[in-house]
Amino acid sequence: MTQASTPDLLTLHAVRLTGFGDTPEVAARFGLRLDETAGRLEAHRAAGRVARSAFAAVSGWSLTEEGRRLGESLLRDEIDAVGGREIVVEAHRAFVPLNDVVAHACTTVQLDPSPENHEAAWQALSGVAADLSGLEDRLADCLTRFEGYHRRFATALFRSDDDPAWLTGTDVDSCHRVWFELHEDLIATLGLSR
Amino acid sequence: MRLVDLADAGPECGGKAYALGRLVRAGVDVPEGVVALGEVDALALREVLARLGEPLAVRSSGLHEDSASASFAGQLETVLGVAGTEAVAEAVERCARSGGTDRARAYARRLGRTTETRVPVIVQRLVAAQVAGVAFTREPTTGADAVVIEAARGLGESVVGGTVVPDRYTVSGGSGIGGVEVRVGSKATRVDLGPDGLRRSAVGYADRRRPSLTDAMAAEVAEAARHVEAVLGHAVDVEWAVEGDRLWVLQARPITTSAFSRSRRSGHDTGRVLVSGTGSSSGTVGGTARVVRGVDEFGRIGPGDILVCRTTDPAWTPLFGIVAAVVTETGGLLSHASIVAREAGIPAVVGAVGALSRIGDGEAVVVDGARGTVAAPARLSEHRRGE
Repeated sequence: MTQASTPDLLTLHAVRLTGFGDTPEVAARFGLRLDETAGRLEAHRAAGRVARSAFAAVSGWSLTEEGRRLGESLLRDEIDAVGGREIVVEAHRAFVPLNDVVAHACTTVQLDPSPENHEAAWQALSGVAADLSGLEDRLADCLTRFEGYHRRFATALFRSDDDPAWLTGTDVDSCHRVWFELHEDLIATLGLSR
Repeated sequence: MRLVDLADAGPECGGKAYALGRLVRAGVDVPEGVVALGEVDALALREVLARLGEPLAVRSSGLHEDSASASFAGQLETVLGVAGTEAVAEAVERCARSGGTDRARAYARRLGRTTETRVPVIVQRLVAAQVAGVAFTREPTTGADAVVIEAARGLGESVVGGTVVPDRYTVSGGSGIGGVEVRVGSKATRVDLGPDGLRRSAVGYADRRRPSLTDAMAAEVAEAARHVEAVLGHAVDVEWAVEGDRLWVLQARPITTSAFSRSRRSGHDTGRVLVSGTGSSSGTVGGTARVVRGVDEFGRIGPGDILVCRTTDPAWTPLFGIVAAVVTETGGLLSHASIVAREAGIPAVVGAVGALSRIGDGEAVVVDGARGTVAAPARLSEHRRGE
């Protein structure tokens, strides 16, 4: 039986996954209400779990060491409560070889963006998308917060046909960005480090 | 203080000013300026400011500097974007005394020369360039008869100081101007004239790999460089700038060695290699190392800095839009840092084991993303000696 996470945890986890997101981005990650998210972020900040910082022209939220520790312990409790740890461990195991395929496809296109390499990358990533679909289904069967990776990845792959920025771009929700976020999600849930 | 109009500058005004004087007299577009000799006189400077407008570019013009047999590149002072009588007086004084700095003296001694305690100083209107760079009238590696141009948007400091991977245009053909070959670089930052002097800012990803010159503009720069070469009578490297629809020649120096080392102006002479790893995004830039251990230190990072860290996760991605290069202790060609660095068009060295301990925070370093090295910039004693 699948289960939803608490908004408090989702807010904290969204900060980790979006990296350096601003309030609207953090709220949008799990479809939370903007005003409520702003309030939760403030509370997390007051508790020393998140920090808002600005450098050069960028500003956003990030986790403090304390927030990172707390987030990982909440995620651990949550996955154990639904008895899903083995499923996530298995998903991570399946993720690792696929990660090589994705990184290799992205790198090849970046180093030589020829039509042949684009086609090869497209083929490789289409295969990954199919595997990702099954992987996400198993994860989302225990926790709904794992939903959405396949849809986003497939959308990015579809768009990359017209605009290669959707493969590796950092300013759009590209294949690489979605993939990298899933990696962070699995690592965070299992309490692993890179 | 004696003031000589740049248009009248002779050998007594120092090598740099003399060359510019000859160019003005030959009809080359050189920004208006004067040469200041002797003790600074604030009253006279005020008149100069009134005539030239502000802000100004102030440069030393040592008597041996820029001669055909030795390059004092970077050895004497340049102060750009100065405004106000007091600041200009200070800049002139600093440049005048730069002939007496340890580095300049040591360099001169190696060549068996003495340095004057005061050197002439050029005060010129600062060109607020939209695009600028350098041009060499010999192909730097082969010595072939072609003009090689390096260009970036904003003031030429980005190219001269090596803080970006510039666009490179090779314009072939000896007398007439032939074909233009382009290798687009990646200009992660730019320098412009701000309200308080020069300002470096980050450039959006989409604009980094947009060519800074059209072929026609490159041909025009090449033609100007050829003209300078003809006037001065030897192969030159020229610093140029485009402001509006005008092309200006800011400086011209002889190319110092026959086996011309690219390092002299826009490239990098490097010293000791501090750490090496896998070069995963090519290009060579120099900058200030920021050794960063966590997100709470991001505030210390500014445009053009070099990010040195253990690894990167999603929170670090925005930094790639600001820094000039990235060095990580972990990872390889396929790592997140490599993929994002290539996307951002900045050099990257990954898997540089020991980077955090071997690179000092705030240290000047040169990152070579093709060879996979992080090195200290060349020290004076390591500078290539002219022939």
